[in-house]
Amino acid sequence: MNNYICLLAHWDLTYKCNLRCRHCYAQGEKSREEVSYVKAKSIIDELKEMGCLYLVFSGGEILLRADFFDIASYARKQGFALRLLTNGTLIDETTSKRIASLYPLTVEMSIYAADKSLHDTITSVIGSFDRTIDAVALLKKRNLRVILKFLVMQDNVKEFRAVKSLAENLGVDFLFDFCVVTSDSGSDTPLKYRLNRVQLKDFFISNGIPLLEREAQEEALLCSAGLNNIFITPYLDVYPCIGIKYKIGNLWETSLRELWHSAKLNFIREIQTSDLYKCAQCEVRQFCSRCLGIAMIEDGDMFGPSSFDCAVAAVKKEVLEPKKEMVADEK
Amino acid sequence: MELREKIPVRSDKTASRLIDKEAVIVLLDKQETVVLNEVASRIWEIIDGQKNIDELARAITAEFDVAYEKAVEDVAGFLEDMAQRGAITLNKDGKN
Repeated sequence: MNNYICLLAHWDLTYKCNLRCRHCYAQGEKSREEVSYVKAKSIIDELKEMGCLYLVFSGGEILLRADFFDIASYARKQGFALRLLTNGTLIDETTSKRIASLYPLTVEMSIYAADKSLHDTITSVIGSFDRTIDAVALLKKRNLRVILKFLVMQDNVKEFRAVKSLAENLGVDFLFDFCVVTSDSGSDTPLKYRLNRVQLKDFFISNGIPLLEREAQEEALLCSAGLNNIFITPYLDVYPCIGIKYKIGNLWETSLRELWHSAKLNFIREIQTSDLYKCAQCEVRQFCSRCLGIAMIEDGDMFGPSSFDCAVAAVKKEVLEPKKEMVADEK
Repeated sequence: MELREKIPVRSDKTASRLIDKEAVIVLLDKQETVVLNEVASRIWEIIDGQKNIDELARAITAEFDVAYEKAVEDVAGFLEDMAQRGAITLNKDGKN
């Protein structure tokens, strides 16, 4: 038995969605049944027993589950803090009141542009922008903490500042990410929307994105997957995190406690820097946020370099090093 | 009403878990987290909306090496702090 505590569970409750975002990674499997309310309650009970405190409910679109509020209310009664990830398009006055009664830590929604027609093109649903923005207003009225999240892609990168301003004007938090990932089906179609190196460098510089350079400590190459968190799909497959497609097991067959203490999950936890045969000696490792999952999916080897992360690290170095030289010159 | 007759009730706006005998309490509307020491965690654990401060103090006296009057003082002080943070309400009849 290890001493790691599963503090947070990220749980995709459904892969059904009323949007068809072009870059979406989440893919449903028609032949498999999504978790029932009764089974969800038993998993919530087990998570509670294991010391879990935070639940992130996402999808798909969580509000498409007819029993979503039953599941979420039960989780609240068991003392969980909830984060809700939703596209917001199904939130009306009544739903916003029900969401507020859950006292969620955050309600997080994606916005792909301040230009509504571009946003609607990306989601493939006309009117989705307006409905998401209406949801923001409804939730803000109820004093909930809303986060707007912007995924930077080739056709919306020019919208970054406008979306940031939109979030400020709406009085909500703003987060962004540029890591478009492959589909769960294995298709790399979404990757065509990813920024290339030149575009990424320009994005960093023209928007003054603060970049971090860590100490060149080898430990920085390892992530926290499986240490204090877990990822669960609607079919109850369990993974160390949403990005690492290394299945630990399934909750219809095995208990969560057994999976948490399993050899498969310990394998992930016990990965050492010395196992990363190239990355440990890499000259840009202090700029790198290496993802085991991306290395595994895109380059076929979770211990090898992730060509995407290599490119990002190289760009960060190109952006940061001239600044360091300038500072040195000034001194 | 005497202070020790008051009944603490946990707020709906909290999430909490006991981890290694320490209570971790998330104040949901304030986005803050509070971690309690062992004695405070035990007090938090046994708040049930029925026990008043006197009863909580007696429980603490039974479990820890502390005199009753000191326990009342400590329990009351802790609960008043938690009430100020919004983690509990302190009522005469245990209703929010």
